This record gives sequence, C-alpha cells and structure tokens, in this order.
Amino acid sequence: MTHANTSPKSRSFLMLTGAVLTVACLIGGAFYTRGPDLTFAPQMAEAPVILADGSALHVQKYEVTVAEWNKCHMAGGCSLALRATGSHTEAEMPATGLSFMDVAEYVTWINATTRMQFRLPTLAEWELMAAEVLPPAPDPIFTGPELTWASAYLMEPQTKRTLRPNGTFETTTQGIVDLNGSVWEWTQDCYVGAAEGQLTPDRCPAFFVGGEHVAAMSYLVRDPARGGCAVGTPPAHLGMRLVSDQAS
Amino acid sequence: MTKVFNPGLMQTNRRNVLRGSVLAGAAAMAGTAGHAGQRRAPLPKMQPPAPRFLVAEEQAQMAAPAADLSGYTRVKQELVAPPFAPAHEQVATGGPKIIEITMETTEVLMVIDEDTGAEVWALTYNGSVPGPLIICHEGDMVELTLRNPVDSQMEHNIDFHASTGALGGGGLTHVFPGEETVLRWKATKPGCFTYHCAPGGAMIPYHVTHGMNGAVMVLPRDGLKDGMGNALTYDSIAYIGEQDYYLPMDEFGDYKKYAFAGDDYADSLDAMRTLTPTHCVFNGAVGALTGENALTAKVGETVLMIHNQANRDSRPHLIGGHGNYVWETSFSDAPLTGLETWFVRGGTAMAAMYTFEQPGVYAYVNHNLIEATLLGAAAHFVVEGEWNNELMEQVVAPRTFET
Repeated sequence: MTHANTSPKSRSFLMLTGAVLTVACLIGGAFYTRGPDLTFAPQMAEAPVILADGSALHVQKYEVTVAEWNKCHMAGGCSLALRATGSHTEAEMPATGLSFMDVAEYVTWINATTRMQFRLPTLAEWELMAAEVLPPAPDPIFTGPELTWASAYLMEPQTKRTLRPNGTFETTTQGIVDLNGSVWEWTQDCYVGAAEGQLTPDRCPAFFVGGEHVAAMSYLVRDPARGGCAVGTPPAHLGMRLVSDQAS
Repeated sequence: MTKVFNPGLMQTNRRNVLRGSVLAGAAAMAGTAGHAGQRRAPLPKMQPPAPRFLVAEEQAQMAAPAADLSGYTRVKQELVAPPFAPAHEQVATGGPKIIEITMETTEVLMVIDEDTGAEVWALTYNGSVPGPLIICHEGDMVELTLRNPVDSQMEHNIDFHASTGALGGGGLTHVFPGEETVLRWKATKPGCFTYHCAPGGAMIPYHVTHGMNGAVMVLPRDGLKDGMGNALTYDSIAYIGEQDYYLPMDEFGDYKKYAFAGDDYADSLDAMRTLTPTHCVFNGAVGALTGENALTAKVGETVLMIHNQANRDSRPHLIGGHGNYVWETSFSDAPLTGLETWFVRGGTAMAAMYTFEQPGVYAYVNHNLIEATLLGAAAHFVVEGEWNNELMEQVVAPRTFET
C-alpha cells in the first residue's frame, strides 16, 4: 500500500470506495443521461432492521445474485462477469468470488442506475441483523493474553462450505435470508488495528466480512483460500448484500 | 469429507471386468447407455492376456524352499483411519512376529474441496486417503489379506516399497472385484516406506493420483535413536498423506462429475499429463486436518509426523516449530537434526519428530506456499500449555508511530 495514493490504479480505487460511502457523483456520469431505472432495484426484506438509535435500516432480502451482478457487468458497471455453476440458474445463485473492489463497482453502478442510495452495512449493522440466526460464538480455545493471536481459532463444526442457492439457509424475523449461509458478506468497516484514525476507506488494506464468524479480509481477495499461515478457518465464499437508510 | 459408496454393478466376475480403459471403450461400443440398472452390457467372452510374469513368479515361488516360520508369533494389527496410528510398541518385545492385516480396495466418491464441490472417485485402501498406516519392526513379517469388494469397477493390487521382490508384491496381488489374495513379506529395512496400487501402465499413476497409497513404518527392534544412539520416543503419531489430484475440468473450468469410478480415466490422463495438480491436499481433502479436524497436542509432548507422498516431491514445514529429528530416508541412518523444512522424495514416506515448546496454533504445510494455500496442502496442530516468554514475547503491540 506504500505510495498507494499516487498510482492511477489506486486513484480509481479511491474514487470507487469513496462512492460506496456516499452517493455516486463523479464516476459513472454516463448513467445520469437516463432517468432512474427501478427495474434494477433489489428486492428488500419485508421489514426494516431497527438500529440501536431507533432508525430503520432497509436490507436486501437475498444476497446479490449472479443474475443481478451480470446486469451490472452487461451495463459496463462491473468489470467481472460471473456464471452460475452446475445446474443452477443465475437468478438463484448468490454472486460470489467478489473482492471489495468488485463490490464497490456494484454499489456505484446500482446507485447510479436506480438513483437510490444503497451502501454496504457496517459490521455492527450486519451483526445486529444476523444475530438471531447465527450460532452462539464458541468459547475461545485460548484465553491467555499472549495467545490472543490464536484465540479465534475455530475447532467447532462449521456450516458446510458448499455454495448453495439463495433461500437455503435461515430467514430472520425481518425476512432477511441466508445470513448464516456459506457466503460471507462484505461490510464497509475497515479493519484498522491500532492505526485508528490513520486509515481511511480509500487506504484500507482489509475490511470486515460478516458471516458465521466475523473475519477481516484483504480488499483484493476474491477467493479466501484455506490454510497456510492464516490461523483459523477463512470464509468460504465472498459476496454482498445491499442496505439503505431509505425505504424504497 | 463426504463419501458415497460405489453404486455400480454388484455382480461382477473376472470375465466382464477388464481394465478400466479397455472396458470404457468396449462399453461405449456396446451402447450400454440405455440399459437401466446395469451399467455394462455383457461382453463377449475374452481371455485376459496371458500373465506370463505372474506365471513365472508363481513357478519360481513353488520351486523355492518354503520359508521357516517357526520362530514367529502371529498377531493381528487392527488398522485405523488416518491421521491416527494403529496400537503398537515403539521397542519390540519378544521375538519376531507375523503381523496380520486386512485391507479392502474400496472405490469411494469423495468431496475433496467443499468450497468448489470438487469430487473424485477415490480408489482407496480401507476407504481413506491415504490408506491406513501399517507399523511393524525390522525382522517382522507383514501378512496382508487384500480384498477387492464385489461392487468395485476396477482391478487393484499393492506395491510395498518396504518389501523385496515381485514388484514390491504388485506382481502377486492383482485382485479383481470379488477376489482376495494373501501376501506375506519380511520387513528387512527399517524406515518409513510408501505403498501404492500399481496395476500396470498408465493405470499406475491413475490409481496413485486417485488416492491409492499409504505408508508402512518399519521401526528398529530397539526403537528410534538419535545419532549418539540415545533412545527417542514419541507420545503420538500424526500420519499425514499428501495427495496430488488432477481433476478434469469442463470448458468453463468447473470440475467434472462422474457417475462411476473409472469414468474419468481418459480425462484424467489428459489432466495428469500436464503434471500440474489441481489439488494438493493432506489426508484426502482440503481442510481434512484443520478446524474441527485439527491435530492436537500439549506442550512437552513429542509428536512423530509421518509424511507420505507416493507420487511427487514435497517439503513439509511446521510453522512456528521445527523438525528436531528428521529421517528423510531410512531409520538405518542417523536422523538430521534441528531442521526448518525437510524433504519428501516423491515415492517415499518419511518421519519428523518434534517436541512442542509453546502453546497455540501451528500450521504444518507443504512449504511450496502456493500448494499450501491455493491447492490445499495445510494441516493445523492446536497445542495446549503454558507460554514461554523467553522463547518469544510481543514486546510492543502494534501501535502508531510518528512520521
């Protein structure tokens, strides 16, 4: 990440992630030549999640599907093209193999196209909406302060890692589906470690992803492989779910 | 690891079971696809090619004097699934033994990576990849009953690198579905040795890269020793079989699925010819020795890590630990000491001994880190005990600094 803010690639990253957090304004200007196209608007869960401060958070019912993703790709908003594997249709499979960079493209595109204001959830929002369907957090296997680096290692049986069609896993009271599935969902929260206040979203090496166990994931990773030095069980698949502070 | 047992033909006999490659072509020509419930149309009666080598071996064996087994005690060894080791003595007591074991050549559909759903019709000894660990002492005899279940699609055999003669026993152990054979061999060389199926020609690597391999440990009668002749003992064995798989893919890059063992033969040969494995895993599947299946130990305990790789070189490394004593070749030579990474010659099993000094999580990897992380060759040890600040201490936790 050294000199990240000087290379052309990093500049576009800065713009994309900036757009995630606010409203698309600079890039994707071409979309503004048309009126909003609400046919691209995602299906939201029946009821909003009420946050601690009493405000309502509107959450996409399912994870973004391959079919939805490919509309972004066809429109030129998302560089990655996806394909449903096996005998499943694009409409029933969650879009996976997505890095934070990819996800940022999608948020930018969907907001420009629908002129709505979607974003990724914060980690706190994600944990709140998923709390009722997540298994209780297992006790840490190590409690000593010198073993914090290993304490999150999971020896409990995990959800099967196989990618499943949407609707396979549980539904929350609000009607949000598959939060406890085999897809981990990108949040907008940067893993800042001790450097709180120094890292900004455009200079963030890793974001939290929500799933059966919370993980921090490099913004570049599309497929979190297992093993190696990474202690613990990494997420199986990386995908996304939109939220909005406004009712659609 | 999900396993589905072979739903193939239940009734087979030597006449209608030929080697997979021949059979596949013959079945296709016979147009069996439409026959519900029976996979293969009856083939015209064919004599297998005259097994001249086998005949010669059998004749030579009959002409030779009978082995004197009078000094031996017969014992049974109950084989267990990896990563565990059968009950055994580290130092032999009593005289030499004839160790009776039984293995079945089962063909099993295994999911080898849950993330992608990649699966293989594994060819196995006793249903696991690797096959079970066999342990004996130098001077013992191993007497194997090798059984090929009636529902198998293929012929199997076994080549013990620890044995002497008849292609490691491969020439005397060809069993067709529904057949069994008994082979006895004397363990004359101490060390860890691989064993694998070797039915002939391209079928050899096909079977080996479908999981059909495992290890024998032949201990010196007086146990393991360091270079000075001092006894070395272990508290547990971690038996790790490294398996390179070459899975055929479709035009989209998705792993192909097959209804029966052997159906992937032609595609597999093309994939194997690249010499580029699609997976390189420990104990049959990605994650087979991590998370809920992680290996466990305590500080102060000594583990003997037995690593088998029947096909390809490897280089294990215990991240955060070492190889205190490493026998890369045999137990006849003094062990290497204090290693960071050790070498597994393709086609061998070897042993590395380590006593844990710190609690926490250790990763045991093939230190080609691409193979460890992208292809799956990683296992974890979770070790309990007291931390030693002299060995390591975090002096300053990550903090910001003035620029």
